[in-house]
Amino acid sequence: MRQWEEKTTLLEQQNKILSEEINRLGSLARVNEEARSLGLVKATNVLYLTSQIPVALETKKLPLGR
Amino acid sequence: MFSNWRINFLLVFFILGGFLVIGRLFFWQVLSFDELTAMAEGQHWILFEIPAQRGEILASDGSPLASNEEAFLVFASLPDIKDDYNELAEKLAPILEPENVATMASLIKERLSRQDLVWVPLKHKVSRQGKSQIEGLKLSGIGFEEEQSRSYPEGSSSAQLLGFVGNDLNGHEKGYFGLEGYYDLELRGRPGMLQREKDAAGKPILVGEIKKEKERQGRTLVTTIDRTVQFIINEKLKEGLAHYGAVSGTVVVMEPKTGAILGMASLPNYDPGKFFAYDKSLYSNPAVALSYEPGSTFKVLVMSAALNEEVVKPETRCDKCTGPRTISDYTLKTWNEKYFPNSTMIEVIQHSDNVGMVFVGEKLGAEKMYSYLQKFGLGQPTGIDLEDEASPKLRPRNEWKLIDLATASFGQGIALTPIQMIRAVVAIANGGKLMKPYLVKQVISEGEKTEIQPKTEREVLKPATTSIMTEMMVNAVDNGESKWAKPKGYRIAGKTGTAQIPVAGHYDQEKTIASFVGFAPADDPKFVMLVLLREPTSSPWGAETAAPLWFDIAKEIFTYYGIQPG
Repeated sequence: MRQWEEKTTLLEQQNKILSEEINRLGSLARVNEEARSLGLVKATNVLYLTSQIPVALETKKLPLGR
Repeated sequence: MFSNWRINFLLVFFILGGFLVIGRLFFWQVLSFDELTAMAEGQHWILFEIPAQRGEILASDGSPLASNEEAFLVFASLPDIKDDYNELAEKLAPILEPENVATMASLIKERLSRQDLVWVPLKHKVSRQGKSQIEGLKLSGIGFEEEQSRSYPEGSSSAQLLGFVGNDLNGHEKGYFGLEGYYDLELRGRPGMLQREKDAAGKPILVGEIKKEKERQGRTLVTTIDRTVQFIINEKLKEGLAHYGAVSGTVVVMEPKTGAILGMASLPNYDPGKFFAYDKSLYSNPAVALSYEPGSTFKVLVMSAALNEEVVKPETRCDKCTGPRTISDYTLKTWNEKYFPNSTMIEVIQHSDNVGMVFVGEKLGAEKMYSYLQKFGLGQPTGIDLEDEASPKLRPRNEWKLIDLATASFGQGIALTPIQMIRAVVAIANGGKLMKPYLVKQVISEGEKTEIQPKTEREVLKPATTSIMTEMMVNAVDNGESKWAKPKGYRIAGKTGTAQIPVAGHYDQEKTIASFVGFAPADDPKFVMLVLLREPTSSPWGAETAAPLWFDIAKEIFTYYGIQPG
């Protein structure tokens, strides 16, 4: 019984330490810093695809003279 | 006869003695009952306090903004110390206070020299690493007691919003400022009690009786703060302050449909984990505590009121806009001294025309103007769940003079807080409803979740009015002074503001508060944002400082929320 209690305490302790570690590592400031150190840069120009196909890309030929 | 006298004497003696004994017993058993019972309790029972863990403050995605970390109280048991006090102090000080070793060493020596004590605390809130380092020294008589320390994983980015945890006069932990201060009672919980029978030496009896009152852990708060938005505005504000040379700045982002605060950042700020190392003036949150004259951003509120009352229409032409106006010996000019005769109300907002707004104010009249200011929530606290909210008073209506109506029309001579300003603009963005701004959307108490619902205070404007006003603000962004900075392809409704700062009865000629308030996408707003820069030096104008910063932040929010152009 005593051994189980000791094990529970130990696991609770480890859980606490891991939770604190997650909080520290999950901080956006840290992630941002880490990303910069890895050479990642922010996207300056985001392009969105539209559902409507541009005329120039249409395969169907347009009837001339209209 | 003689023997009779002796018997009587003894009889009286014993009766009096009996009364004295009864009287004394009455005193102990009845009159002193409570006091003696308490003394007996104290002698038989030993009391331990079971500390309650302070509740966490979470962002809307559940990640912690304020949490608890295991820490330790380092103490010395004086009879068990074998090392020399000076040597011990020299070893401990660099670990306990690396930034101030000499002071810490002398403090340790002083405490270890106390002859009247057997147990002395040396340092609270020592980290786990610190504890390991001390354990490595293998010092006798040095022990540790587990305690909690408050941690803020996102650092100072939400400092004024969160507040901090310090100690009250009795040495108990207490939250100050921001959410920590406002929700202190909920967060701190209630400590439990453990009572055990003790022996004559004061040690707990192993087989003795135990009375236990369970502690109630502090409640956890789930906020409306989107930590990515919070991170973006904090980083961008930092860049903006440096770029525009401003003394300070504030950004608030709000969800128009609910009044939920998505982000709130101010600079300069402080590290809430080390609040004591910073100037106290940084503790209060400018977003709710700063009282300022809004300048031209206020024009959208006055124009909305006039449109709502149908005293003007978008196409109404200003017939008093040919030049400066003189009212009660004061000459009122436009910001660039350019005048636009016969301009429409759309153009008045586009050109941020002070003279045009005086025309609007006169059409509205002081009575209605005052009524709308109250409807927009000015002169009263917004009720946001943050400590330290200020609420500049509106001057009583009967004290208003002609010049007050005129200057209020373009946002001078009237004071409000950033949160009051953004809340009023939210009413334009959401179809006319004045929302109560809020930060906590859920309270978790021992597994039980309580949702906090958005609250509509009142309907201020008709939906038709807000549509017209939105178009006027979109036009102001597309064709106004700040059009060069606007992100391409997006419909943004907004208004710049440059307000002079009142100093001792007059306006400072050089210092300004530059601001921009707006919402996007204009047709179905996802966010309303206010950017405020105090005393920018690159340019005094909102259109050249706060507006480009607003657009810069908006671009990142568009990307984050996946808001596409068009």
